[in-house]
Amino acid sequence: MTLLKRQFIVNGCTNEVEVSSHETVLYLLQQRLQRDDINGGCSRGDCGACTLLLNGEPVHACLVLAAELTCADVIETAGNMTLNTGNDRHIVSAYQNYAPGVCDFCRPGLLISTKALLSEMPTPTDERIREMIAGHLCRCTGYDQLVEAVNAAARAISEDAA
Amino acid sequence: MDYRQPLTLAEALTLLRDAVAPVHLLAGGTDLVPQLRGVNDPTLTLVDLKRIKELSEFIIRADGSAVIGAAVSAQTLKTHRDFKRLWPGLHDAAALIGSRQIMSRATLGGNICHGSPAADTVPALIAAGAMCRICSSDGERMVPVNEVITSPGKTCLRKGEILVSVSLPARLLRSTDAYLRITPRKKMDIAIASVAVNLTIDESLCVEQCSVALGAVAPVAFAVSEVSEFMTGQRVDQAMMARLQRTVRQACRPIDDIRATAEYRTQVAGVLAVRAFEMAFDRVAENSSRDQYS
Amino acid sequence: MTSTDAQALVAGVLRSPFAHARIRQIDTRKAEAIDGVRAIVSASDFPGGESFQQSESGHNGMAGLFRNVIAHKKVLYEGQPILAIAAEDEKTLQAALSAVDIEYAVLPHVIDVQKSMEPDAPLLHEELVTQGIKPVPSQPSNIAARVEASSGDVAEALANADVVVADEFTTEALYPGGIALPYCQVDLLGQDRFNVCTHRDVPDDQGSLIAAMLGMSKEDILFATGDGNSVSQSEKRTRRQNCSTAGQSVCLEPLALMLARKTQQSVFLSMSREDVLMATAAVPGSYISMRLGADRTGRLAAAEVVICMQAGAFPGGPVQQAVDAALASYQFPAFRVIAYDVVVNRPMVTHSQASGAIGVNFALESLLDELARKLSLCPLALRKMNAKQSNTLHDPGCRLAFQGIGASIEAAESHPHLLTKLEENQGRGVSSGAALDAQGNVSYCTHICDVEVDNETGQVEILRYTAIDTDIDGQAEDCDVQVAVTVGIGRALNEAYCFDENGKLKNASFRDYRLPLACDVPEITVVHSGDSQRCGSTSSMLPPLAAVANAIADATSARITSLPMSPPVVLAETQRQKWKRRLRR
Repeated sequence: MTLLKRQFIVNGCTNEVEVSSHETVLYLLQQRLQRDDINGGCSRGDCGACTLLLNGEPVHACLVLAAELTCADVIETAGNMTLNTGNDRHIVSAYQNYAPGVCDFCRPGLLISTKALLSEMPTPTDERIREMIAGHLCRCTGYDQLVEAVNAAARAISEDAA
Repeated sequence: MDYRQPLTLAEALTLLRDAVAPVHLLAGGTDLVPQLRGVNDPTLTLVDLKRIKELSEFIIRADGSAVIGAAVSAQTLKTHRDFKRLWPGLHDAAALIGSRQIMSRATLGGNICHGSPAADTVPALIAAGAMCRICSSDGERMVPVNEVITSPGKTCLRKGEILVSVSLPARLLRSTDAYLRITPRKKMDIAIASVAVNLTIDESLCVEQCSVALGAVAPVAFAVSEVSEFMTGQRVDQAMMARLQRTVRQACRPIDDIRATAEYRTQVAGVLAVRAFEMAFDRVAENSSRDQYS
Repeated sequence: MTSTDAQALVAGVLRSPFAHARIRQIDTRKAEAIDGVRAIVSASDFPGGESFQQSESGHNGMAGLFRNVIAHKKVLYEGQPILAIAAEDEKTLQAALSAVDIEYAVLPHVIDVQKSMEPDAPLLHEELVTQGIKPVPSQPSNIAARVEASSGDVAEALANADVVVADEFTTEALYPGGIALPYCQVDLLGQDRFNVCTHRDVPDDQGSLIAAMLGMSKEDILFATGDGNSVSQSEKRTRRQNCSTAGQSVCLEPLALMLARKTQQSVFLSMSREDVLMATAAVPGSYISMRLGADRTGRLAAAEVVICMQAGAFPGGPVQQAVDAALASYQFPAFRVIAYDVVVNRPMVTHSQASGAIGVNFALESLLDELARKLSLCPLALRKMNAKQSNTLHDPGCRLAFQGIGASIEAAESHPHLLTKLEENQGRGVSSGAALDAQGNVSYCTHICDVEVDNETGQVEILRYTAIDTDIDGQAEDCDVQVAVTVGIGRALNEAYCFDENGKLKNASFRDYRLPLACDVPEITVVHSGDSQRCGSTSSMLPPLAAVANAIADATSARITSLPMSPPVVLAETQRQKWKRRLRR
């Protein structure tokens, strides 16, 4: 089986990896790059746990083939968000304070989706929030905490900007 | 599995023409990638279409006609203001394809070519009179979208062919479309029944032209041709709506599956048809006083 | 989930493709010959297995639990493990799994609980004879046990009652788990000592069982918790029985341990989403027939209940929970509750999260609503009138010693939710529940639910939901109640395992077994009331089913007694009601 050389950026760092033609980006990040800030619950794009940003857009890592990545591709996972300042920090804090029920398995994907959500919609209504996180299954909180966390993050971000 | 990423349409078509073994075309991958799980076939060729510029084009003209590349993402369609204004039904259909993560990757071409009877964009495309540009290294052909899908999971694409783009015709005055579907839960589910209505009215609010297409109630989505027979030139009233409901129900050929019974699908298809028509009618009646094409 | 150890062997499970079959022959020679295959284990490798088989029947108690983990001579559910294989890499593992030859004699299967009780049902265990019946039956059946709790003369009480309400209720098997995929990493700590890291907390009793299966002492197996991060003891709260990992029974650990033992190497074993849905413990489906009698003031006089509950392939379903659920909350001067533990071709069911109480609570709280309707009484007042105040009189056969559900009912009565005006096609339903959580605490609650029903499509939208639960501190516990309600709403409206004519699971994905999403549920208001007993939110798993059903009945007059209340079911029932009303005119 031939391996393909791929170069791409993850959280600001360039990676050069050899990948097989059928492995997904989830496999690539978990197994080859040994990252622990991404999880997979279904391999079919149903649960949202493996959500990351690909060129700024939220995607399921289990639905993107590693082979599709090019050197122009920028991946962001949640792992960096705790280290970053600014909006990322507000989102991470909001989840810590308002959604402590969220478990470690789903939190990375939710943080990333929240980041994408708030950059597309800085002042979302509760209804829009629920639509935007409808790509995430949560069995720990019943979703109310998530809505609160997103609202809190939105407030903190807009206060910062003011 | 051999993965290829052609940079031009010509390169892709040559690749397809010369391929000996089975070829899968990869756009967004939301349907294909799960299917490839566990497949260990070294002879299989995967052709990634995303670098080909013709498949990423998205042109909307002032007259409402459009060319949408097959690899244009659902999210691009959803966030395009002119597209929403001119084709709100097709826009709504694209916006229902899936979650935000799916919308980033799912494409119009993929939604058509995966061949699901419940694909959301297909009824709206049929009602709109969309044409598909299908290319091979020998040339190209334009195929009405309802002829592209031949049976569940199968298209009319021959070896060596790629669906490159979808064309929408110019918008007539006082025209709009609408799309509604029923899912077991309100959102984020697969359609049990869906209806698309493309409607043109005249100055006296009578129906000038109406296309109704149904999804998820037959092996392939299809237009209900009888509709134009009793609607064209007629005033919209309760009797017409009742007839629409009956006609749509009679046209359904659904199956029982885990989401719904055939009986239920038929029943609600009729309900949806009236609602979608009323939605389109209200939209176009409201718009007809405004200049659509600024 | 990835292995933390690059040297760990990769393991996988060969699972039965059939719901019910005899294993004629297993040939692993081709698989063993593949370069890189390090070990293959079957039931006969387990030292504990022999002693289980030698117990009086190969299906009860430990024997049943063991065979639920790995099949022996017969497969009794689709997905049941037959072999576990460890290999050097994923590719080799898959090749080995494909290279095993197994000859099956496929048998007819049964999954529906009522069908399984019929005399001509396919027999799962040739020696299974119903316990709890005198005289002992001469013929085997799929009815593992009959449990009864009775007091007083029910027949007389019902005959003398001013009003009797009765109905039959069916619920389907449900997914109790979370999003994380099960995994098990076993590392060697020394001579025959192992460290086991899984995605969940392994309860002590399960730890003992696993050790017994391997013929080892419990001290030689250390269970750590994974969860993606290492969690120190001080950080761990008393682990909330949240939906992520609760209800998971033993499945991977014995297999991974046996492979580690055989290879003397670290082993990593995980499960796919499809396998989890197909082959792990579900909430049991049930059939319940219930009859309640009362006087015209609403005072309950009698309850007659028959519960038939799926146990899974081996006896030992949560029938006692079902009996408790019938009797724990309300005072019945006379009662007769009979529960049947029935084996079916499915994995052993879960006891967690009040799984045995779900069906009975649905039935009881639905019928109380019907009673209130018939007597033109407020449904909350009816419940309060009959709520047990204290359990000084110990009801024979009922385990729950109970302070009284009255406090949460009273709090519901005065909650402003009841003042919100309802529009056309909208309805309101209430329901109460009581349950024991994993720590042995009783919790009880009363829920109020508002729905809107689209009477042309049968789609139901939950507009408002208020859950009144016993007093709990802290914000985190709010979310326990909220998730329990969300889980309940999903089950009420949409969820059920569906099987084809061969007993194979049709919806083995999150796409086709669709759990509730954020857009499916409204904001869920949680209210804490009553005494300050600290307890969990297990009871909140129960009321949503009847609360939604009662709200639908309020909106449409249609009483739905089978779950899930999906749009086709709601539409059919509401249309039937419309016709009934038309015919009466």
